[in-house]
Amino acid sequence: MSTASSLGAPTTGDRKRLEALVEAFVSSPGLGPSRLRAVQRHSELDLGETLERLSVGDWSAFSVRRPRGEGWDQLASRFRQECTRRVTASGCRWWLAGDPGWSEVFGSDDEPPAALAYCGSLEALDQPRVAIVGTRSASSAGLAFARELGASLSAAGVAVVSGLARGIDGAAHRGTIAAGGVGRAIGVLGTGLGVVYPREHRDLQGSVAANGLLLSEYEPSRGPRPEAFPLRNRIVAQVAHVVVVVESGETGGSLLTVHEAVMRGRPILAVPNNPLVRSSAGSNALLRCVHGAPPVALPCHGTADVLAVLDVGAILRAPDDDPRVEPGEAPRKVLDALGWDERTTSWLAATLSLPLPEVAAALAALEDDGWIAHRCGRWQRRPR
Amino acid sequence: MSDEPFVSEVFGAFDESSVSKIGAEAMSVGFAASGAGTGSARSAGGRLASVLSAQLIGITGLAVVVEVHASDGVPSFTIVGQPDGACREARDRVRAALLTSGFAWPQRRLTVNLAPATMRKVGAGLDLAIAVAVLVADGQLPPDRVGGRAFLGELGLDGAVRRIPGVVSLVGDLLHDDPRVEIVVPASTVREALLLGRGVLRSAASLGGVIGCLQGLDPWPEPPDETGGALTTAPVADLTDVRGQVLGRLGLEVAAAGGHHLLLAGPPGSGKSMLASRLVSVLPDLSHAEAVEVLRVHSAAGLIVEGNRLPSRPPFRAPHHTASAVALLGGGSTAIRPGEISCAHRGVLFLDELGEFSPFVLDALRQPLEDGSICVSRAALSVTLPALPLVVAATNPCPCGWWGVPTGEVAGSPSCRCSDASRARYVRRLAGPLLDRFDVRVLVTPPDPDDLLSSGPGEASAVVAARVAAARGVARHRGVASNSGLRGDELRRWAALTVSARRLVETRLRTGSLTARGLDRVRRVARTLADLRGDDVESVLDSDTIALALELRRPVLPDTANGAAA
Repeated sequence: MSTASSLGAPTTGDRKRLEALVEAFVSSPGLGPSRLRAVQRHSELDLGETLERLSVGDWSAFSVRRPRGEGWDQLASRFRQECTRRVTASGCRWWLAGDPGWSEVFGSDDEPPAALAYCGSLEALDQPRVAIVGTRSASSAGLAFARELGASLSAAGVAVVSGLARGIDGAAHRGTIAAGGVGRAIGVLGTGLGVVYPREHRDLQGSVAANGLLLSEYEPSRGPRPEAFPLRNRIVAQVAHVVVVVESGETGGSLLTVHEAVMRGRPILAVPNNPLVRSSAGSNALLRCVHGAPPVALPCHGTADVLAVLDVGAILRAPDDDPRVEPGEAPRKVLDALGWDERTTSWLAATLSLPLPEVAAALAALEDDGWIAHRCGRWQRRPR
Repeated sequence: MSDEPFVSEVFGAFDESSVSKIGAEAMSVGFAASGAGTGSARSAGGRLASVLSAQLIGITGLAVVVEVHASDGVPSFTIVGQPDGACREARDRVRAALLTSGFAWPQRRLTVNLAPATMRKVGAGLDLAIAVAVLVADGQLPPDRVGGRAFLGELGLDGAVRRIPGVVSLVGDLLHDDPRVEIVVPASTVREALLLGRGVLRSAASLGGVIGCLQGLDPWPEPPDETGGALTTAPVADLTDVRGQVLGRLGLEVAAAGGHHLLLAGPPGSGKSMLASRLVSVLPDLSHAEAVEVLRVHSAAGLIVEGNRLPSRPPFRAPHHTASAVALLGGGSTAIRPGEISCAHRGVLFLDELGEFSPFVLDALRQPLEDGSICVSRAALSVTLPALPLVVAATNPCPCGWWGVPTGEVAGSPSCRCSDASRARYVRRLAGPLLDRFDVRVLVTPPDPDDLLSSGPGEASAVVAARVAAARGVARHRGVASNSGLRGDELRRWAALTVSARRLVETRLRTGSLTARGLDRVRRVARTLADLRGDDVESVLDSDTIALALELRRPVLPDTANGAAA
């Protein structure tokens, strides 16, 4: 890998100009992050000088591949337009190849990004990092598990990396932030930093930026495009030390993350689930031996499994023993009958042959002590 | 009702006793007409006749005086006094009916005035009164024959007198204005009108028959037997058919006993509609006063009154979810017809597929549910209609209905395929203030096959109804019809909490999962639960009861667009 830019000790003004040029290049139609990588690879000069030359239309010296059907001049004029538009206005920071900390994260990568827009604090990357990924249409049990795992990893001082998608991704980061632990949330977006996708993650995206770090390969205004998300997954796999798949369908996008992680030699864990649950077919398959080959993933039953794999020494500690009050006699019976399934109150009363008021009282007590949660008419046990 | 028909031909007596101004005016005008007498039939001033009738606005009958002035001149027939289309067409119906009934059509200039002139006249109910007034004005019928009588009914071209809606209200309010007035009603509605149990009613089958009786040629037909026909009540679905559904049954019983609105949520085929349609079977019979209220509304809405009896059972109305706001709340530009919410007064209003109703309609339901009446206002008039139904609503949790059902709970159930956006849109309609009106919310799940096949019949409606009636009796001790009517200050007295129960609600108040308003509602439901159990009127509510009331108020619909946030 060629680190084209060594920033020396750039003045703030130079650095700002450089970041703006990068942003303009990435956002120019017909250019973009992959062409920036190409520029960086094929140029003899440092990135700043290269972009400065490009911005005044001096293309001939570089081996940037011509986009089909478009002249150099047209491309150059678009870049120039973007430059004049962006150089003054951008509020977003760029983390460039060769910047401090870059090589620790991307040094081993065969296809590193050339630059990443970021929001929040890069210090989050100093922590051990675990990616929690999974399906967008998860079961409520999967969501609950992801939330609890995110929370306990944060409490153990581990940063949680995820893609801020619906479902598992969002739940993991919600847990991380709600726990308020040492471990930070690191979100890698498939859109620009100024775009929220899906829209219901507006608050979550803001709190990830405030809590830890948001990363994106794209210019801030770039909207969601289908091809961007698999590319985002490769960054998730590269940034994390360990990847945990909570729940993934047979053809889920999280399996792409697993593929990227395998390529990079990252340990993979998968949460075993009921084989009847369709949304877990993919994650269960990772745990299966195929033709005598060892399974791709190790089973993950909780935080302890992740920490064991992560094995990064003394800064980590498993969360304390269950702080919840031991339930009384009747609530214990209800809790045992509930198991780890979702059940209605009617079902519990019928199964236990107890009168409704007693069951209701037991449920209220369990809810108050944090053992169970109510969701739209059904009860569910909460993991520790 | 009195068997003695009240017959008076002395107009002066009316002037002294009449309460109604309009009625009094009618009588005095009638007197003036008789004063003009046969002798001055062709006087320069022409001849005037005046006949009392009434029309329906909402469920109120308002007296209308039909005045006909016949004078020399080019033969013509004009109706004034703001008639609507149907009313204006009375000229053609009346003319044909008179001719086919064997009377002569006066070759004179006829002006019909419908007083009070400022009120819009709607429909064909004034036809009979106009025909009678024309005959009086033409001298074919002596004016003293129509004094002290009111005429209601639509005319056919053959002279038949047809039924009109709201006869019960029309008769009731005419009698309220003047208890001695003798009312001629269409023969097909006389049983309905008799259900009020007072006044002197005359049955009119045809115009010719009415005139014959008025002239004293024939006796008035005997009023039908007061008891009416045999009561043919449709068999009401019974709760024995419901298997399992412990919480659903309890919700139903609590709703019936406490008058709490009930929301049933659950996947398709889980038995929501089955439960809802059985709510009416556990409600107590209507009292006489309630029955009269229901009768008036149903008569005004043009519904057939079953078996021609005072309704003893609460009504059950189930409008389709495509119903417009006007259909549900009542309205119309001229005559204000009661809507479904009024037709279900003192009974059950079942809103199936609540999430499919238009959001505008659902929004409009909020205020009447709070007030127990609905004020329908139009440019010309505003009418207050009774609207005190027990609302039971059924809804799926999402457009496809399978959201939140865990794999394996229902054999062979599909998984939810609704997009987040469509689910959010669906739930948003229901969210907020309307949902807050439902004190009892139950998630209904399809019954277990074991329950369906092996267990015996469920508890019968009659058994539940007895408990409900007893609980309502206890509520009446507190001075309310049902516990849902208890005010905040009354709750302090009637729904005190034990220490442990207080702790239970305190935790939830502190975490914000229960609001102050929610607490009041929980206490009302808990009070009903205690009443159903047979507790003392003033018993303190323990933690089990409160826990169960909380259980009946849990959210049963997805609360956010994305299931991830909880």
